[in-house]
Amino acid sequence: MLIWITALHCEAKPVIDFYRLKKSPAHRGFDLYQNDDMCLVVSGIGKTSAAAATAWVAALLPSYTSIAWINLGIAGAAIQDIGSAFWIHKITSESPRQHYFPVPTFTTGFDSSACTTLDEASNEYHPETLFDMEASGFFSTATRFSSAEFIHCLKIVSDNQDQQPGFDKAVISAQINQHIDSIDKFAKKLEMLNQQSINLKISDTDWHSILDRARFSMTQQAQLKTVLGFLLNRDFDAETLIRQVSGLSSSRDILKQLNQIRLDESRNL
Amino acid sequence: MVSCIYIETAVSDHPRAQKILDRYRQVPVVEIEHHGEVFNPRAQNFRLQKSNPALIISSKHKRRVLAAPEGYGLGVKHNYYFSHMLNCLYDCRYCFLQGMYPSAHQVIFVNYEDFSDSITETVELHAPDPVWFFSGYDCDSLAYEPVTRFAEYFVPFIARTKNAWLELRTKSTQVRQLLKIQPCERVVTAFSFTDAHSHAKLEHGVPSISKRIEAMKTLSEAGWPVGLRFDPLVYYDNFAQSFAQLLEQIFSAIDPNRIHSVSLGAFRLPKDNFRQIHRLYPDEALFAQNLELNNAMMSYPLSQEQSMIKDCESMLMNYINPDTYFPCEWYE
Repeated sequence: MLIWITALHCEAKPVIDFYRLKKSPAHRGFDLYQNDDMCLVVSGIGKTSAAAATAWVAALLPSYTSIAWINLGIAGAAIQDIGSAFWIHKITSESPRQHYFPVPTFTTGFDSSACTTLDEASNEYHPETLFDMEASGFFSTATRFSSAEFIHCLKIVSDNQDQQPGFDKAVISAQINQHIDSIDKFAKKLEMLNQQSINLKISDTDWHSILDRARFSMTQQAQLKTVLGFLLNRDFDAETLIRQVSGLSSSRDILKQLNQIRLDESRNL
Repeated sequence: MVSCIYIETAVSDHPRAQKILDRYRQVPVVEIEHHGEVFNPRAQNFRLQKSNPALIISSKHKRRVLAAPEGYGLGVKHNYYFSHMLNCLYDCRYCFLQGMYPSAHQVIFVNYEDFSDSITETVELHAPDPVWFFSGYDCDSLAYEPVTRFAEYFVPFIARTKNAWLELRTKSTQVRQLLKIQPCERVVTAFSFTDAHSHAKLEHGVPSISKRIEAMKTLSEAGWPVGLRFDPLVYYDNFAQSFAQLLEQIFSAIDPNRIHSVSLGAFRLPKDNFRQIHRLYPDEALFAQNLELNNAMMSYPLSQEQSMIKDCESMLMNYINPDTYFPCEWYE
């Protein structure tokens, strides 16, 4: 599952249109748009709102074993051109002073920049960083639910020290929309990375197809998880394993049989 | 390929740091206050990072030279280790480094002069006894030589420091720097080997066995002491036969009389490291083998391990002088 967090509807619109996301009527608290593979939450402005929206949507999706995140939005810059897009490599929270470092595990397709998250809008610029109002709240909260490799911020410059064009929703949407193909490529790479991680985990269906065959104690469940974690990531599927334990009714015998298959499979590395 | 360089502000002007930056002009550089900001956070996935790690340029302020663990050494009383790097270029599934740190990024400490001061102090503490320093504990000593220039600095330093001995432990073929300088009898380059099947299955990114033997031969013929480290031995049906082939391959190229030291140990991991690595690699066959907990180590059952060691020792003794053999004894 990929989750987008934007502060404003006008920042969300290019993503909603591109992926044909539908607004969910069932959820209150934040506006949520979704399709089968991703969802987008409009958090409102500020790091507290971004943190709240991030935690809220993560709590809505407890069944997903791995979540990838993108915070997409506008930022101020000193010298960078208006409309230019950046992947953020360092996030600084102004208060309390704290740094966060998104982890680059693939080629992002964007220039990279630092970003400082302010508590209030400001017209002061600094050449070494972009300025926004959400990234630190988003990132620090998302790392409670996902590993840092899956959490990223993409920022589009909306104003700089030479030009402060004011707040125009249509202009902001257009500035983001002009990068939508690169944003989509980035999202696809992130989803692929996420899928690698999901592939290593045992799906709920597979887990219950074995677990429900007998009464496993908590210790046995931990042992079962280890055995299945190995076998399901090798050449075995749940159906094959069920066939192998089909005549067995006790948890002890099932574990013994699966452990033997595991030992045989690992014998020659 | 390095994905990004993080550099501590305090060392950004350090000449060694500048040389590293010069090598990677196309790579984004991010200033940090301390390497722990990037390296230590818990919400990181070592396995994912390992495919595309970043470089962190830092300096080591404290605890630069540490006592080697019990049983680690080559028969002398005073054994220490130091690490100019954290994490390794290679990706060996059996290595304890896989679960040692939260991050797979490679940290390079550039304040070599401070390390050498600590080594001098340690040598003086034990004078006139010989003191061994092992450099390949938290990293491969030579694999990153073109970037770190570690041997370029430390080998001449050890050569002029009386009573100091250095082991460079490596799986690399990076011996070019050593070949440029006068051999020193107190600097031993120890090459680690596993048999061909284990190498193919478990040592990702490591140069081929034949290339490493070639590097070892070149170094030995240039007058440098070289060592052999058969650690870990990994069990599978034909491991003994494959180990015999490895010995044959090595000793058909290297004169056994030129071998400084040989050590041998079976696969084992501290319990906590094992748990961490197993979580990262649930699909790895090595960790699904018949292992058990002994002396806070996950290892093969002791009777199996002793039998593996015995078989390999007897093959080894056909080639080497027994005085040069130092078994890895980790259990009582």
